[in-house]
Amino acid sequence: MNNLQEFTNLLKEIATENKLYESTKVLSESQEFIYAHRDELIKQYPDQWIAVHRTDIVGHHKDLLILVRKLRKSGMPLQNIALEMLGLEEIPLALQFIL
Amino acid sequence: MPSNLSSSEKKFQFQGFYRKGYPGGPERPFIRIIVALHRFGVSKQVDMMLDSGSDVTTLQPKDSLLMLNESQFKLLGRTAEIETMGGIRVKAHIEEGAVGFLLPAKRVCWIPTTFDITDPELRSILPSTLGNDVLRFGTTVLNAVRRIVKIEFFLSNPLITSI
Repeated sequence: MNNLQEFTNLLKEIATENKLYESTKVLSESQEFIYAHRDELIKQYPDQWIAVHRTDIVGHHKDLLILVRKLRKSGMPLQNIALEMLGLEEIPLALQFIL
Repeated sequence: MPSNLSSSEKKFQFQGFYRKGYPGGPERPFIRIIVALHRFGVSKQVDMMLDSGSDVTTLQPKDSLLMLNESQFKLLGRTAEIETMGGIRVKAHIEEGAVGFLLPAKRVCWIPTTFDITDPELRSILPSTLGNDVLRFGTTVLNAVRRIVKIEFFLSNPLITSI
């Protein structure tokens, strides 16, 4: 990157191409839905990843990679989707890598 | 009261929130930001946990997999073994980009930074984290009792774009 102005222009271009403003609105709605309904969702999808678009659950699976592959194949707008692991138990953060 | 900002500095303030990671677990401080990886032309909003104990901002599979195809992970910057929360060492890709903070009137304040992007094969369920590489530009206020998460940046040359 030659200079700061060039970098700024590139970021603006990326934001426009990705329709970032619209995407932040939808994604916020999707994320807030998970936070507000987490307790109910855990009972329904224990120890699974869920994918939410606005207020719709568009996928769930125990394996994140498999879930994302399915979402990508379905043509869902991934930029607008919120993902969350609905773990049943508190696991020390460091152990999550080796479980 | 006199300002402690120099004439060239500008102050920006952003609010975050506390949220639970797991049932019965402690609430942790988060902030809603935007991540841009300019080499790949992608950007996405991400809820990041504030981690002042980390030197680098991290992007975990939960967020990076929605931005990049699996094949693009091979094209990310150099691979390194990094020490993550709890001292566990994992493989990560190092990639330049920027974090953005939403301002009023559809504008974003960007801070260029480097991300540690965890390999998706590691099946990490950690949240992405905002580290000291970004937090060092300002002051972070955390108060779990009053549920306050506040970041103030003091930037002398802010990168601001409209979106």
